[in-house]
Amino acid sequence: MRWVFFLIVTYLLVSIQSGMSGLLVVGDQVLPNLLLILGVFVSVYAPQTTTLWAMLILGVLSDLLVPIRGAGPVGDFVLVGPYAAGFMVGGWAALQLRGIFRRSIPGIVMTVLVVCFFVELMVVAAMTIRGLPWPIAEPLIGWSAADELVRRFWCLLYTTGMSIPLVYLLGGMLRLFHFETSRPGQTGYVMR
Amino acid sequence: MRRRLLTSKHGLFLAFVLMLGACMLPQSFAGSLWSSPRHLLLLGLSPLEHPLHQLSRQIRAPLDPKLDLGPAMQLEKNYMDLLSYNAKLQQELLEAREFVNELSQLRAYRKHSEKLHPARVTLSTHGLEINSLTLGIGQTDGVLEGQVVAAGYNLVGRIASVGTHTSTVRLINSPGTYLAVGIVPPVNDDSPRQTVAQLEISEEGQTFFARGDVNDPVKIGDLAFLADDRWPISAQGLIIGKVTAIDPDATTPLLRTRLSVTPLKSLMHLGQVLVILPEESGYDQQGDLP
Repeated sequence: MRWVFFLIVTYLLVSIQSGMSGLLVVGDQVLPNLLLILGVFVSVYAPQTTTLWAMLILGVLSDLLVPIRGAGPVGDFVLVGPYAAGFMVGGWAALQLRGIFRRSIPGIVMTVLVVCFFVELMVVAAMTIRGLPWPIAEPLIGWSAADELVRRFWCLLYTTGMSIPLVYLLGGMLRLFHFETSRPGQTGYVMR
Repeated sequence: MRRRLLTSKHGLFLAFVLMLGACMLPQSFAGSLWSSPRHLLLLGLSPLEHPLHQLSRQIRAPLDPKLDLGPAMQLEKNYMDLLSYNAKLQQELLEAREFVNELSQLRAYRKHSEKLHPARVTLSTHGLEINSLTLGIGQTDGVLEGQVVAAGYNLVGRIASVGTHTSTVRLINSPGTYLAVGIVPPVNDDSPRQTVAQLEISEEGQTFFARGDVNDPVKIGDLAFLADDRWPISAQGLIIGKVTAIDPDATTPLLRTRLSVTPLKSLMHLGQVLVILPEESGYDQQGDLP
């Protein structure tokens, strides 16, 4: 994979996701995860290790973008880890799904749906485990796993919906990504 | 054949374990560890993010009047509604001008001890548990954690984290916010009356609620200003919002009332804010939990 082009697309999508959050938001908190869509797109075409490294980068960026409310008067802080680990688990899931879904827009969209499920579940699990009663626990203020699961379910659907046009756009740039594949005949973009 | 000790797969596994471990880091350590990369990232994103944020605000304005373009008979009613809405806006404009005059006098008084630093908003975030704004100023501009942020004379929040060139504001409409306020009539109201209340943010984060007594001298349109010892002195007197509804309390409707206070400005759609910087070095900015 051509990493420079991947980073340029990542920069654009991070800017859109954060800069246009006021436009994209539905309700009060439901937002699509454009970085996840890019990660799934990469995972469909790139080699295994490349996919997981790309997912790690995207996950760390997702963690850095959103601060978390901590204890204290102004205790907001950044916790890198939940999304990074979640994206890696999601990348692993996407690699398992390669043989199930085809390299087409509906196939990638279905992969986004499943991967997003894994990622959000991993994030909620990490945050919840952080608050369990054990020695190094430091629960987050106002954290409710049930509320988060409901909100993230809508985010999942929104992300899946947004993946249709975005995958179409990314598909147009497939050659610029310069994916390498060990399976001949599968580098092209199939529109089915 | 020589075997490599650390392959890419080993690196990935190590990264995954590190990320899992990082999830459990204490708040203080995680904050200091990741604050600089976050602000560096925000600084890098700001050239593209700011125009996108402005574009987003233009496309999706915060307070659009809702128009119902239904059947033709409905249009006349809509027209009359809009006329009355226009008249109401004109009235509010007059009141606002008087209010601006009052505020200008207040500003002239405050500026002797404080410096107001304008800052553009580069990003508004609906976070996991907080709502926050990212500002285009940071440590190099004298911004410190805990400083008060306002939009005009409306309280916006406090600086939660500071980078070299960016800073993050925790908004007052974040879940779990409690504020002690005084409620007074607007400046053009002659009757001298005042009451105090404890505001709590609603679940959707748009409105504050407070319980009051039925005999409290509160009317719709009254202004709620901050009177909370847990906040710095520079925040005291800043406006939280306007009383928009007074309903009977659900449990004791004959004795208690439920006040709804709505911010005058949509906090998630601000383009520019003011950071109140104290000029005296010994000034205590931190305060207790707001």
